[in-house]
Amino acid sequence: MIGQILASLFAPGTLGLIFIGVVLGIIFGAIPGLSASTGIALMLPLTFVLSPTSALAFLGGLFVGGYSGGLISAILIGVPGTPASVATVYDGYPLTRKGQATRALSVGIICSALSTFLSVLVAMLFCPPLARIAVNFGPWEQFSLCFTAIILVVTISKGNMFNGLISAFLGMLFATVGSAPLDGAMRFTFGNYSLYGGINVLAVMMGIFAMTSLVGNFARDDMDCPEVDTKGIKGFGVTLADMAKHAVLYLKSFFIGLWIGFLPGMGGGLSNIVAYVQAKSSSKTPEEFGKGCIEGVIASESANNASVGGAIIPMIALGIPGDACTAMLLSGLMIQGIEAGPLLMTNSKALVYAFFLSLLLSTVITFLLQFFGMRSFPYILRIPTHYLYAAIFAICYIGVYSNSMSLFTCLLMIGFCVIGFILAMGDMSSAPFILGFILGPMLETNLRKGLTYTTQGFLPFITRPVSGVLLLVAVCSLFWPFIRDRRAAKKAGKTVAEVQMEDAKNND
Amino acid sequence: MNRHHWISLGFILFGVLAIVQAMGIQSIYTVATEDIGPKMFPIFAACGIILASIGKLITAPRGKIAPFLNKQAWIRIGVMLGMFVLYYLGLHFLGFLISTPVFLYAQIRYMSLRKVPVVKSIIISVVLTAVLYFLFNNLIRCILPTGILF
Repeated sequence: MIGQILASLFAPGTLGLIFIGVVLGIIFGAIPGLSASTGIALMLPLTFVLSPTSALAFLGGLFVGGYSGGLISAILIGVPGTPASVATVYDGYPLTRKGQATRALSVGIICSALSTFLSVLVAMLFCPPLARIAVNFGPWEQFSLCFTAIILVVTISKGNMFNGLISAFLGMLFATVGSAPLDGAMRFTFGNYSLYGGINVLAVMMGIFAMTSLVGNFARDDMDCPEVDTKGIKGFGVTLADMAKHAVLYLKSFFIGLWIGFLPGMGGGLSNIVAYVQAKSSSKTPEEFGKGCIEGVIASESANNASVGGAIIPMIALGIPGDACTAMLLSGLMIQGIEAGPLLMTNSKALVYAFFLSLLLSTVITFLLQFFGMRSFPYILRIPTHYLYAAIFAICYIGVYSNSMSLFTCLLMIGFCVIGFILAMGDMSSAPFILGFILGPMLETNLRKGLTYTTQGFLPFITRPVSGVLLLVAVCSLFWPFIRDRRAAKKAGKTVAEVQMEDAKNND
Repeated sequence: MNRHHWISLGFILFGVLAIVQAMGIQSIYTVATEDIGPKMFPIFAACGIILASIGKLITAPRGKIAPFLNKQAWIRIGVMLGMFVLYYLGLHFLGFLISTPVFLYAQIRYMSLRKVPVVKSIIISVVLTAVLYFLFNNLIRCILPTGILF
């Protein structure tokens, strides 16, 4: 098997695809307003003609490149390329203004690469035993697992929990369009045969994710990057001793990132901030944070990239995507006709290990490209966005069309772009929507299978230990914010509404 | 009433319409007596939307809030969505090779706020169309729309 994996992965075509994936990922990660998720969504149509290994290797390159590319704009222009690099701005940009851009970039690149590499190794170690446990799950446990994942995403997401719930339920409702599982009844098709097979997943991804964010950027005049001062970019700016001095901070941030990445709904967007706050609170010189302290860059970049491996574990072992990026990677699997879930490790072992190895390879390529190509970063940020955006819109249309061979799907994509704006208007994130859309069919199928396998109705969902515990976690996390606010209000002598208002202000 | 309240009311109405529509779903056959059938899950999701929207309606901040976008931004969104619909119609009636360069030209000129010269915009639009055509037609082997008028 090892020979088969290596042969497929090191074939010149696959290697070339990984390289292209990494380059595109870095570009998408670096340019503010674009992200690894947008990149993966756009490139999904190109994977139709590829073999499963090549397709996953290409998407893996995009994933790793996109996660690592965010630090470029965060450090050079003070604008995070992706949400995972928000905390990198706090100290990375002040370092650039002090003329230490190279040092900040080098440290960020090394920490990113090391964290991605180690976290993927951890994922390789933990996926097989977790999948072995999960393979024994019946439809009851699988239903509870999907349900808990959605609820966790909703409750952990920023701001009002009801926003996340509306978004997730809306995703689930749209996922019911077309033929129903088990009995094939037609739902919400309105006699349109283009809807018989359900709503095309690419139309949803492109519309609600890529098009909404790009049109929004243009509408808000948020397209162009500020000029980059290239004077500070020379040499490598970092020594081995410099890195070794911060080994403990690195390890702490790495484990924070790994754990947060593993939990559904969190990922790099949260882990970098948690690690940054932790680094600041445990530092001997917390007053230096925010003024150009290298420890801030180490904490943020170690944690956000450690989330890569963390997020891969539930995606591979359980078939549960934790965030939009892994949801799109799962869509890549679905496009190839591969069913995600615990059986993936058994049925497509070679493919899974080829994917892991491609992530490791992508990490090495990303590191080499970023470390030795540092001087080319300002050029990436100078790409005129009006050309790029126009090309992306055309790719969205043709990509969606080539997937379904129906122009009606393009119309659906425009519809989802409008839905994306409605969600944004109501401060609702699109991530729960995508998760609801992806997990909705799994949720319904397992619910109906669970009900038909026994004559006890809903009881086994509660009485089976794993399923019961998972549902308990879901219920507790659903009600925890209310209990927390009530306790905080009681403690502070305020009303719950006042506490919630303060919470919302802090979140903003 | 601010936009959060209107959006919540909109979603409540949408949920109700979804439930009404779901009530008419007919199962081809019943899998088992314990099965909930094909209409229950959409109804469950729609009820979730309604309940969460009621929650949002109650907890949303009251009074005036900062606008989501200014007037100029809304005009831009409207124009962009208009261009998207026109491009869809262009692909349907005229096909990829005619509508794509026109769409790209319009997009580049509009998004650059007419700063990119006309000739440069035309050249880039044509080159981008050729690249996309080669990528999808030759590499991915997807037959691009030819338009019903041709």
